Amino acid sequence: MVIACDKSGYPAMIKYTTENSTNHEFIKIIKAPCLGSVKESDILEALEGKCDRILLVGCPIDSCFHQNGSRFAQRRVNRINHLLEEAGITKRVAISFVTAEKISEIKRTLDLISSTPVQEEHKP
Amino acid sequence: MSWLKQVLQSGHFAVTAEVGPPKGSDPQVIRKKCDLLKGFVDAVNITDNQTAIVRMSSFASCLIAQKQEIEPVMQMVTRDRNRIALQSDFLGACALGISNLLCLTGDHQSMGNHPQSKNVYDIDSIQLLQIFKNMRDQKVFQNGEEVKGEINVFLGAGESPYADPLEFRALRLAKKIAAGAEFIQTQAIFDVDIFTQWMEEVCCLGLHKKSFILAGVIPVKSAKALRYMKNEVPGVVIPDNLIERMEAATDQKAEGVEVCIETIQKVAKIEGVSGVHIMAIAWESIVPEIVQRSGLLPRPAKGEITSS
Amino acid sequence: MIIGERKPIPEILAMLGDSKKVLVLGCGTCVTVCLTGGDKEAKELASLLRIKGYEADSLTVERQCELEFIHPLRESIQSVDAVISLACGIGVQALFELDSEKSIYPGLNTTFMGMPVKQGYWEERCWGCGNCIIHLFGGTCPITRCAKSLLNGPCGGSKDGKCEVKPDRDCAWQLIYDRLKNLNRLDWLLTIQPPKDWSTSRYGGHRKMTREDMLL
Repeated sequence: MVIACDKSGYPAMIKYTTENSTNHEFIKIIKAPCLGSVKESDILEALEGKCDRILLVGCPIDSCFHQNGSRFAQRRVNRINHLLEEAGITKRVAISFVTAEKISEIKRTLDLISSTPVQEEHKP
Repeated sequence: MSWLKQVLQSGHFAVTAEVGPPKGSDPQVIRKKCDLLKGFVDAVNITDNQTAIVRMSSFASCLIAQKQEIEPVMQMVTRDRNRIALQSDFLGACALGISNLLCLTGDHQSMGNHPQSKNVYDIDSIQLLQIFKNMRDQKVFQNGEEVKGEINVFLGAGESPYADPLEFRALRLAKKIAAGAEFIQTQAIFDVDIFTQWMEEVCCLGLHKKSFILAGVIPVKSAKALRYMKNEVPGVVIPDNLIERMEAATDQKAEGVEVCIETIQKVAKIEGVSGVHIMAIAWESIVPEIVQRSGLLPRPAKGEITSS
Repeated sequence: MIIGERKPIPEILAMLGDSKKVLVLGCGTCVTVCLTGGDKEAKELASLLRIKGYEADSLTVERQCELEFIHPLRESIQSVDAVISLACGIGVQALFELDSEKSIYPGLNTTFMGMPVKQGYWEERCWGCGNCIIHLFGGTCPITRCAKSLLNGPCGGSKDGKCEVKPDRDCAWQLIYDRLKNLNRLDWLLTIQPPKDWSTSRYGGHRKMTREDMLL
C-alpha cells in the first residue's frame, strides 16, 4: 500500500506509475493531505490486513508544504518499525521523500522493501 | 586512647596510610600489609567496601590489624547500614578497643560490583559524626536513650578540597567539624597551589585549630594512571604539567614516587596541615620508601608521648 | 504525575501465553501524558496483537485507579481471556479488585513520580517521603534528586554540576547551592540537618490516608 501526500507524493506516484510498467503489486494508493496527518494507528490497522509493506511518499523533509509533516512522519515510521521488530512481526513500513520531478527514490525504496522476505504471522 | 590522637596532639606531623581488605576471607592479606607499614605510619585506615566492591569488612580487618600491633582507623560508610547497625557496630568497635573512626557517606552502589543492591543512606556522614559524638560525649543514642559504658573514640571525616561547588568546600568542612570531626583526611592532592588556597580559607575560618587536617597523597605508577584520575575521579585536580612530567620520565614509577615525596614535603610546610595520609592503592609496599625519603622517620614510639 | 514505561513486547507476549481473546486497557490520566499507556498506545498494542493473530481490542478509561471508572468495564473484562492494563501499578491492582479471577497483566513498568522537563523527556521529582522539606533546599528535593538522598550535601562527587552516579543529571546539591546563593540564604546550608524520620515514607510500612468527613 502506498500513502502519498497530495502536494508531492501523489503527483510523483502518478508520474511513476505512468512512466514505469508496474512490476510491483500495489494494493492501493491512498491520498493524504500531508504525511503528518497519518497516524501510527492508521498504518498498523492497514498492516492488519493482507498488506505486508506500506510505503509513505511525501515532500522532502525540509520542504514539506505543511512544514513538519514529513519530519514527524519519518519519526513515526521509525517508531512503527521498532514496534514491529520488537513484536517479532516482519511486516515493514518505509518512507520516501520525492518531488514530482525527482521520482527515482520511489523505485529504489519499492525495490528495497519488496526484496525483504515476509513470513506468515502465526500466534504462538 | 587513640595513638593517632596522641601523635597529633603532641604536635608531631602524623603519617597515616590506607589498606584495602581482600575480596576473600584470608586474614594473612591484612597481616602482610600491616607488617609492611609497621614503624612507618602512626595509624592505618582500613577501607569499608570501598567503591561499593564487597571486601572483608573494615571492622574485622581492624581487629586483625590490632593483633599485628598497628593502630587501625576503622572506616564506616552510610551506604550499607542504617543508624541501628551503625550505632551497634560503633559500640562493638569501642568494646574491642578500636579507637579511630572515619565517617563517610560512601560511593553509590551503582559504581561497584553489586549494582543491583538496595542502598541504605539512612543518614549521611555529617549526621553520623554527630551521632557518634553524642554517643561519646553526651552518652546518648540518636533517639536520646542513655548509652552505657566507656567510649573513647577519635572521630574523623574525609574532605575534598577541589570538589564542586568550590566556594562551599571550606564551609562544608566547618560543618563536618561542628558535627564532630576531630581529624580530616583529604582527597588526593596533586595541585599544591589550589590546595594552599583552600588551606588559607580553612585557616581563615580557624578550622585548623578545631581539627587536625591530614593532606591526602597518592603515589602514581604511570602517566596513564594520572590521566585516568584526571578524567574519571571527581574532586581530583591534576595539573597538565604533572602529566607531561610523568610522560617524559624514563621510569614513570620512580617519577611517581618522586612526585609523591615532593608533594608531601610541600604540603608539610603549609600552615594548618598536621599530617599526611598516603593512599598507595594496591601499592602498600611503596609506603616505607615514601615515608623514609620524605624525611618522616623515625615515627614517634609509644612511651615518647604521654597521653594528656 | 506517575511515569511508566511499556514492558518489552516479548515480555507481554510471554505473559499472554495461550490466551486468545485479549483486551488492552488504556488509562487517560498520567500514562496518557507520558505517552506510554493512553488510548493511542492501547490502540497500537491491540493492533500489533491482532497482526500476531490474537483477537485483541482496546478500551481506555479516564483513570484506572478509580473503581467507579473501571466498574463499567466489568462485562468487557469477563468476556476475554486476558487483559493487558497499560495503567500504572495502581490501576492494575484496581482491576484485580474488580475481577480477581481474570488474568490481568501489567503492560507497563511503573517507574517514578515526575514531570515533563521538556516534550518527550521526563524526570523524577518526588519520592513520596511523607514529610516535605523542599522549601529548606531552595526548591530542589534532595531526597529524590540526590542519588544518596543527602541532607547535608554535596558529596564531592559531582563534575561540572552533574551527578557522578547519573552524569546526565544535575547534581541536586549544585542546584540547591546555586538557588540558596541567589536567595542570599547560604546560611541555611550551615545548619546541620538532623537524621530524617523515614517512618512517614514507604520504609515505615504501607501507607494510607483518610478524610473522615468524606466517608459514606
